[in-house]
Amino acid sequence: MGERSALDDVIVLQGIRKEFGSFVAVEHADFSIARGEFFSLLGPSGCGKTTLLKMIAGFEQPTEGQVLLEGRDVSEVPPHQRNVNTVFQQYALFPHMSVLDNVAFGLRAKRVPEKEVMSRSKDMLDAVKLGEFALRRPNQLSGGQQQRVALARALVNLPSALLLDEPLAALDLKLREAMQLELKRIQREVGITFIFVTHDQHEALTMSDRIAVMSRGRVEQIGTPEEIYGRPASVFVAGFIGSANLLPGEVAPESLPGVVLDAGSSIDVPTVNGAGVGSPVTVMIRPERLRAVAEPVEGRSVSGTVSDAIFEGSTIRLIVHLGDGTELMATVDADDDLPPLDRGNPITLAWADDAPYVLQGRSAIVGATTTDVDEVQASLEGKDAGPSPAPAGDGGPSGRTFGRRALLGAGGLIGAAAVVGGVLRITGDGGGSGSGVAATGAGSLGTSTLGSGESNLRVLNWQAYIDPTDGDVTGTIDRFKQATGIAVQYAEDLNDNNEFYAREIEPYLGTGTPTNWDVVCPTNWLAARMKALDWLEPLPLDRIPNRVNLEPQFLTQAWDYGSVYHVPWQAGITGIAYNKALTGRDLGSIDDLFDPAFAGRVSMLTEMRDSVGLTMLALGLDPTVVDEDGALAALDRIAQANAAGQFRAFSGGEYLRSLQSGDFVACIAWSGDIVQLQLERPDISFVIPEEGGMLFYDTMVIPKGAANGLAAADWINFVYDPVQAAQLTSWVQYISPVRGVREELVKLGDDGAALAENPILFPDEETSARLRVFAALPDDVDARLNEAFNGIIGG
Amino acid sequence: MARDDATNDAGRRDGRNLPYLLVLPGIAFLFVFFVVPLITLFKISLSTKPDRLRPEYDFTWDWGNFSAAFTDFGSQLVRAFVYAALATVLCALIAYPVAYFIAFKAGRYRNVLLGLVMLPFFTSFLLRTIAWQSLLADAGPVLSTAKAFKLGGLLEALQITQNGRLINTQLAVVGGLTYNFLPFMLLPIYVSLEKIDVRLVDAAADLYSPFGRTFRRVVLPLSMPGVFAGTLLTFIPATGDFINAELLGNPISRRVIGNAVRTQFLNQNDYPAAAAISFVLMAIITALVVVYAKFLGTEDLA
Repeated sequence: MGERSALDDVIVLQGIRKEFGSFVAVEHADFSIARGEFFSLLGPSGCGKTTLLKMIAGFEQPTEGQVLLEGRDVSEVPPHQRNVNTVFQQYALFPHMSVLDNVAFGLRAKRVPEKEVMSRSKDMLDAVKLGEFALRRPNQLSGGQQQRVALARALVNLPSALLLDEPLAALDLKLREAMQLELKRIQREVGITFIFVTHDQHEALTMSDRIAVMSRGRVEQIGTPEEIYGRPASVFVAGFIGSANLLPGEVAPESLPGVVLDAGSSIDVPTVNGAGVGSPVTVMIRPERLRAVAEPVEGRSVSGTVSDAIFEGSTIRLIVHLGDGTELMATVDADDDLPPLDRGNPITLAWADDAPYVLQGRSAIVGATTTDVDEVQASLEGKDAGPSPAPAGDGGPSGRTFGRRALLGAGGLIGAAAVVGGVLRITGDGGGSGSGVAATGAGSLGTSTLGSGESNLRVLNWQAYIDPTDGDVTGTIDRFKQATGIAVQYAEDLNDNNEFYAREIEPYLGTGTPTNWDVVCPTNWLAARMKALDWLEPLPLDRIPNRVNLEPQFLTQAWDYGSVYHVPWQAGITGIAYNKALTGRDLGSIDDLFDPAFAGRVSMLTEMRDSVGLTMLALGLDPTVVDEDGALAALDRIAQANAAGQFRAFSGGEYLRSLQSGDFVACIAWSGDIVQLQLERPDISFVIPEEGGMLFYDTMVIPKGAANGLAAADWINFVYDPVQAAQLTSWVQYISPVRGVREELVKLGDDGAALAENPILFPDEETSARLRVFAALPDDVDARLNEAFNGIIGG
Repeated sequence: MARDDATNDAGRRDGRNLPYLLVLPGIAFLFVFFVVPLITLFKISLSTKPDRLRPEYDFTWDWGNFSAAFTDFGSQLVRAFVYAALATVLCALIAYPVAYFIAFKAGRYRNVLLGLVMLPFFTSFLLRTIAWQSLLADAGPVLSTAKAFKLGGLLEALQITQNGRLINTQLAVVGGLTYNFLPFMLLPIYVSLEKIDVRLVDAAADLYSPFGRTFRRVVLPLSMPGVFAGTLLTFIPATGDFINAELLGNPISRRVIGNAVRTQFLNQNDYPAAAAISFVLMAIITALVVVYAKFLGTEDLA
């Protein structure tokens, strides 16, 4: 094979070196592969054989050197432009295509006419005896059949060379042996160069014309199977190919070729292969060259004891222990005349003249090599650790403290949260001091002489509507607990009156079941509805002496004259907020919201009574009386303006953020929000329009059948103490319904005193006279107006 | 002997029944928390509620609620489906390359990148949507940056902004939906891409296919189950979403079917109407999914 002409070389590797980082995978690869040759790359895992194959296929580029394919340097050519094809380990068949489409894949990519693609693919499938499976999916085939599809898929393209990457590794032994013959047959028939990567020396020996044995990135030897087996170039090759007995020693000084073994004895060898006298060598004798003899032969035998005798059918494998501890292996014919092979029996092994073969260098392994490559392979192939699961996280810090100021910055955040249905359910005082469900609750209930059931007073209120415990400042809930010993379960997810009614009230009281709350804080009109349905408990007024502090105007509300079923929690004014820098002028009228100059830059609230009430005032109508036609006229006005693009949005609590950012130049707003916002944004103005503003108030009511009615009364009494109410007001900054708060605020000094002078918190009489409370609508009217309003704002 | 056989038989029968026994709790759960509510809801949808403020229903086979769902809320339905469809397409276009990169190119940074994709979604859906309000505001960072680079005209020409605004537009709603549902598209696609044996890609290249053809013929078809799953996970919830419409939209975009259902349930207290709209929505989605599954024929790809 040494006299091949260069033209016959399909592939020439010139000085190939491949590095991965600092790791040298392949070096000094310098050889050629001839046309029609079955060439194997053999070596243990990690020896670089697959890397070499990938460089030929184009999946890797050499760091140095060239790959010549048909005489052309293809080192930088991508795989799809190289006329070589690969049979992959585990085949890599396309699972979503039929067998036929798999085989046709390459030809179609080369834009071969479809007719030819079909005929060639079918012929190829017939050639691998899979014609009848053409329309199956790969996963419907056995491993051996898949193997043949992979072969057909590659060969149909008539590549310059076929690269096979451990193609038989996935098959069981029997099938593997059958496929070895099959591969060899196919290769002979098509005459294409096969480059076969394997770690199985038996496979390589059986099939190859030539073998390149690799170790640690280097080619140790290239030769025919006979050369490699009989005349290995190195100790490694000798040990790796087949089994060998290796006996290290030195070249003997006598003229007759011989080696003095390290063990002491000396043996005759046919040649020392050019090694100088005294140089270290290793004598290799294949196990099948040893036979058991009765008498030792000088220079051509060793003696020891039988350590093991394994019957293997036609042969017996003998393990023989020599005196110095070396173990030798001999494969002897079972038919031979053998001495008794019981363990410990003495035995002499002899060999023919030409059996010993001298290798350069002293072998580290002494005696029989047991090349169990699969075992080596397994130990070397560190399986990639699979991806570990992405770090789990929870929904962010819970129980995070929000001040009202911070909340206003985030504006309406929580409002929207409740829309989603309790995404953020904030329970407790918001101050993080844990009055939510107080552990001390049950034991201290005796003071309030409650009936039964719930251990905590359960209060449902709007978001950010109470002062939290914050540092040195003790919040109202905790002060209440200290004063009365009653623990409070305080929830802040009352967020929309209608929604609150639909979720917390109707399903319970509508079926005669008590709600989950002892005190709830609906806006006045909803409290009126609940009273009309007879779903409120009358307040136990004798337990609420502080009710004398109620501002008189709230005593005369038509729906609850004398304030027997409710007291207000906080009140506020619905007016207009605007950013003067953007409007360019001061606003004073509700009509300004309808000014076409501000088209698309103003907003209304999704709260019907606020938007409709103000618009009624603008139309000169009176929202304090039930006037359905008037309200419909207001709705009509809103609808027209909306159709003309007047409103940028209809918003709930989230209007504040848009007002801050300048997206809204003006909007309907709630006084408390703006008072708070003005601390940071004095440029935002709040005006009670000349036509009038809407006064709303949220109430405290006790739902029918509440378990802790008396504790509820204690709570109401507590927050109607002006000292307590002033603390509340200094944080909440809405209008307090409690008399004496203004004086108490002055006593608080600083910010409190400033609030006492704020006309929005404490409107003068002239202003108060312009405030209107929306009429308590009969249900049918409320339903119709609500529907009409929703029809405009969407939903 | 006969007795032995009998015991063996019994043992085998027990073994055979085990899977059914194991599935019982799941079935019971679904029955109590899915089938029963569904039937109740269906009954309510065919009822009238004589008093809006009391939870009493007269079961009257009143199909009027269903016809009203189309006549009164037809435009809301159409709008919701259009938003959801646009968002789903955008999600797929954005998620696919990202998932592809993470699956095939990210190497050891794969988990880090997946974590980064997921990170924003550890915070509340709502919080993130609200954050977009600030980001997209007229004077917000996005538009001011665009203006600094004099891109205002371009954005307007591309109809990305309308009258110089990003937020309170229908596009903002679609953008919000896209953003919020992106992981639901990305993760299934990633999983199906990640499952693809990279040797298949090598094999295609080895068989003379440049990247484009490899992608079209091998990677894309094999990842279609992920695209299919992602599409469902995105499209279905996006159809019923109203948060984005409300927080990022304008008076027009608020008119989506999710908002209608919510308003009928929680604001108007009209459970029959709300139930009927819900059923109509469910029916349309089911029909769309069936048609979609037919077209994509996922069973082929399993």
